Amino acid sequence: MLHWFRSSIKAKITLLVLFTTSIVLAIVLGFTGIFSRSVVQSDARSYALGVAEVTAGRLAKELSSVAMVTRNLAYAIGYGQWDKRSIDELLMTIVKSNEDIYGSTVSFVPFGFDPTLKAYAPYYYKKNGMISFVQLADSYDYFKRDWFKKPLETGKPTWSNPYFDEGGGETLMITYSYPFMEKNLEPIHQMLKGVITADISLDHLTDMVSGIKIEETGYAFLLSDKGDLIVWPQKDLIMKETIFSLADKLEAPKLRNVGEEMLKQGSGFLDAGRSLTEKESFLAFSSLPDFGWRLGVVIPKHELFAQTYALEKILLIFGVAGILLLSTVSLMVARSVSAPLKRMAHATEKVGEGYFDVDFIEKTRLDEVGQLARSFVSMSKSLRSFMKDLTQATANKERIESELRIAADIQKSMLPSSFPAFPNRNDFDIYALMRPAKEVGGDFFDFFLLDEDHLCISVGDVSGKGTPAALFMSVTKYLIEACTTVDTPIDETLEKINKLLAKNNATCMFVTVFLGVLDLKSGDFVYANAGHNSPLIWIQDAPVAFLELVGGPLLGIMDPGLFRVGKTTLVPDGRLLVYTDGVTEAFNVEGEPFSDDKLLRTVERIRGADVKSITEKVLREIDEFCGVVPQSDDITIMALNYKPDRKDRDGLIPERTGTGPMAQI
Amino acid sequence: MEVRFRKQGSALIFTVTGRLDTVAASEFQSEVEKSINNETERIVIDCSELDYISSAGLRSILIIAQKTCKANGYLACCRLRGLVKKVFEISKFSLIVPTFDTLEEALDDKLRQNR
Repeated sequence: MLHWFRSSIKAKITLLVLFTTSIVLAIVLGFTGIFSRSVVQSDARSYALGVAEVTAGRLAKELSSVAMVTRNLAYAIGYGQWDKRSIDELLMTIVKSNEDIYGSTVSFVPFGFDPTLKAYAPYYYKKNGMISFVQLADSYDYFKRDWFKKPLETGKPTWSNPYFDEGGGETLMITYSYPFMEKNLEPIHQMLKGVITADISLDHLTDMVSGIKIEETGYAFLLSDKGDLIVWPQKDLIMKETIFSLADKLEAPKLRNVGEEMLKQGSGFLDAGRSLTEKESFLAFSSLPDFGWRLGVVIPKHELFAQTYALEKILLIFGVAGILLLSTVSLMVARSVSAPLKRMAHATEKVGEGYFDVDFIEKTRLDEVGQLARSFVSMSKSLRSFMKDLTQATANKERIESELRIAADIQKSMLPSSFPAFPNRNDFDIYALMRPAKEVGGDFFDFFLLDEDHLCISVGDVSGKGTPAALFMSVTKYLIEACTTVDTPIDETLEKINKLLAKNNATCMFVTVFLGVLDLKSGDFVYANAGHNSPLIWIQDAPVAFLELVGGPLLGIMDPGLFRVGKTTLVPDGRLLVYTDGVTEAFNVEGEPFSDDKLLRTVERIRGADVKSITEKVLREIDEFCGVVPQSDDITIMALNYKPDRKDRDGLIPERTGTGPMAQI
Repeated sequence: MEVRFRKQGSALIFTVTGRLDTVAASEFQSEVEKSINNETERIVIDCSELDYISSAGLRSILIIAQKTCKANGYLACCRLRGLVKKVFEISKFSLIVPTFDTLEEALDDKLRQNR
């Protein structure tokens, strides 16, 4: 999956857009949800609290108006002369005309009504829509009842706790009791004559509280200051349980918390969870101050938040639709980029294989892809023509290189290359090598027998290197071979050659040459030099030394060259080492030249070796010295050893080992 | 390789610094040819700062000398040292191009050698 994501722009764009907009949607939804909910909640809170407070106020007002009626009644009874009938009528009227009052009684203290009657307590109440009467004295000992005792004890009116008036009203009620006195007597003779009560049935309270409508399934309830269920949706639990005992019965600790919270505070708003309703709800409550009762208003959350849920649902639908649309669009846009890119990538491969014919339909587009397409096509065209030129140039180069190779071969075959050079001669040994700096070089060496008794050796170095030098070198070498004879003085030979070379030499090419002829019978060695390095010579025990040179300048420039003849004698086993300045001017990494000194010391160390060993050893020393520095000039080394003791002649003049225009004398 | 030149009278004095190998030689040659004109009677090459000269370098001097001679001018080298001096000696270059020890001698009319 990750691989697919990383390998496709389409995937990247689409997934990223999808991902980002989803996150944004989630955040927006989250925020609107939270925000709207909190707004609704706080509105609901205000509203519910208001409702609770208003309702509590109304309840309290009604209760207090009942209390008021009772008080008035108490005053009336106290001040008037009342007989049985008038009391009955009064009570009946009170109960009938006050819809809040369930029942009312005037209960006298013992013998308070009639000295002959111990107990007299007429009681009128509403039953099944009709006014009923019961003489409480006949029902029970009302002296013991709280509603009678308490006010008499305290001399103050009281509200009772909710109770079931068995034998009396036969219903759950609360009773307001007002003690009355006989007011007609003198104050000191005034004494409490009895208690006047007004009852309010809990049914009636329930009716009042039930009138409160909150949302669809919201409701209100009433708790006493001890948590008794005064008004409760399950009517059968009224006054049978407290909110706490109910909580324990239902094993609902949250309900207990609610009860505790309600009783702790005078009013408030809390999250009631699932304790009061099947689904979650809030609770607002207020209290009836004189009673310490708590009125609770229950608001089911799902009804409260119904609209926010709807809002969120709509947002979600739109959001998802929007995301899908956005993803589709971004997919399309991404594809409009990635598809041509893919094709171009493919085309690039083709171009790499040599197919330069590419075209793209996108080249007419005005956007970046169009630009790329146009550039690609134009690049391919350029590449095609470039390849053509390159192929041409390579062909040319190959042709030149092959010609150079042939030239190198020609040059190689020009110089003597088979050793030992004169196998049937034991009176001397000769070995030489030439290593060009480039494919072809400007150095040469040569040796050939002028006649049976004379060996001619030559080493030369043309100015520069490479093909121009090679041309000049081959001319020089063959001139030497052609012009050198036993009879001609060697300085004249050089002079002749110099003249020929200088004649048509506009480019000022020149060559240094060392030319010598060894008399193999006597060991006499005549030589001439044209600007070339002194060969090394060592005979018997003498230290290796540089041959003293006399003579003219490099060949090809100055005419006449004013060359001179040099003479020395090679005692048997004497040796010569002839070389070019590629040897002494080979530079190492530090820029130091190999130098004459080092050459001398190298040769001194191996003075007794055979010619091949000496030559190869010197070359190895040079290579070691130079290290990584590439060869900068052609290197030529020739070693000659004159050792006439063992002569082996078969009377024939040996062939010249070199090939060239003059193969044999 | 660096080439500097200054005029002294009708002579141009070129001071070459460093190594005059194959690549440097063609540079040197074009520098000198650029600087000389019809009025140049004498060219002196001051080799006091020259560390090394290859056969290509020698050749470039020869080419300049040839051109100078054709224009009836005169070329001399002076103040050779080290390896360069040795090369000149071996190749007997001084037989072709006049060579002096000091700059004054190279500029001295009396010591002019025509080749």
